[in-house]
Amino acid sequence: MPIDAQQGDRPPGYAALVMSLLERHPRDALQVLLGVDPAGAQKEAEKPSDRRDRIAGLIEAFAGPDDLVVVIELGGADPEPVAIQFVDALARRGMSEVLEQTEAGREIARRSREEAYQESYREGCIEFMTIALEHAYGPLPDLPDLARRLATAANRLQHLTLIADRVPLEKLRSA
Amino acid sequence: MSIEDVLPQTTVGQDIARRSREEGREGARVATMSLLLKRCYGPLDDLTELAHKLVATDYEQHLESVVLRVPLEQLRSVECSSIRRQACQSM
Repeated sequence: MPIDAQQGDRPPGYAALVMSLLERHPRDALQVLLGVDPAGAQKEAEKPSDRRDRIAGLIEAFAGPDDLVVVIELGGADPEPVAIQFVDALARRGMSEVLEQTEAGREIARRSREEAYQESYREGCIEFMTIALEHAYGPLPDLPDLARRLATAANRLQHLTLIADRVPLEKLRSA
Repeated sequence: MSIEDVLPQTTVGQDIARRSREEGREGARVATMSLLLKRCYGPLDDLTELAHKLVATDYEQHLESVVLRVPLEQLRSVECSSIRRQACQSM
């Protein structure tokens, strides 16, 4: 693990313990590391300066002087950017795979994949419908609208067959 | 604030999102190509393999070739160019 190599004279078991916690209870471990009490009670009780000190200590334990400088520079800022910096500091220390496997990481991956899939699938269907219409009927003033409507319908493949059979355009326009 | 709120705003979170969007887009293109191939040429033994190859080489050009039903041999003989070879081989 690169993180062990970068720990220098810090207790050797510390990084391994954190890694193991992150792997087994990623969400809880990161919430605690980020200073978020799951019940939300501790958040109000802690003074912002105490919170910064605590996060700076955590980052120092994990990371190197560069990340500590970042935290000090953020001294006057909201807790939120500190948390973002902290997660990025973890990633720079070789923890990106662990972060990816957290519940939140998998959720980002799932949502992004699904959104891009839906968008590209829709685009692809409009694209092939446009090609088919243009090929069968030549340039049409309402080509983009017609292609989008035929391509986004559930029976898009039937429309494709109708186009290949060159049915009268009125039939497609009223489909 | 929870990790669900923080992670999407971090570099590592945005990196996960970017790579996953690329995966989703490739998946959709292969699905679209497979759908069209099946529709235009009937059932094919090498459907998945062929769809992957056509998407990895020139998706838009091959979408057109399939809709216009060029001979199947022409599609099967498409070679992965040197630039895309890695993508083809990784399938």
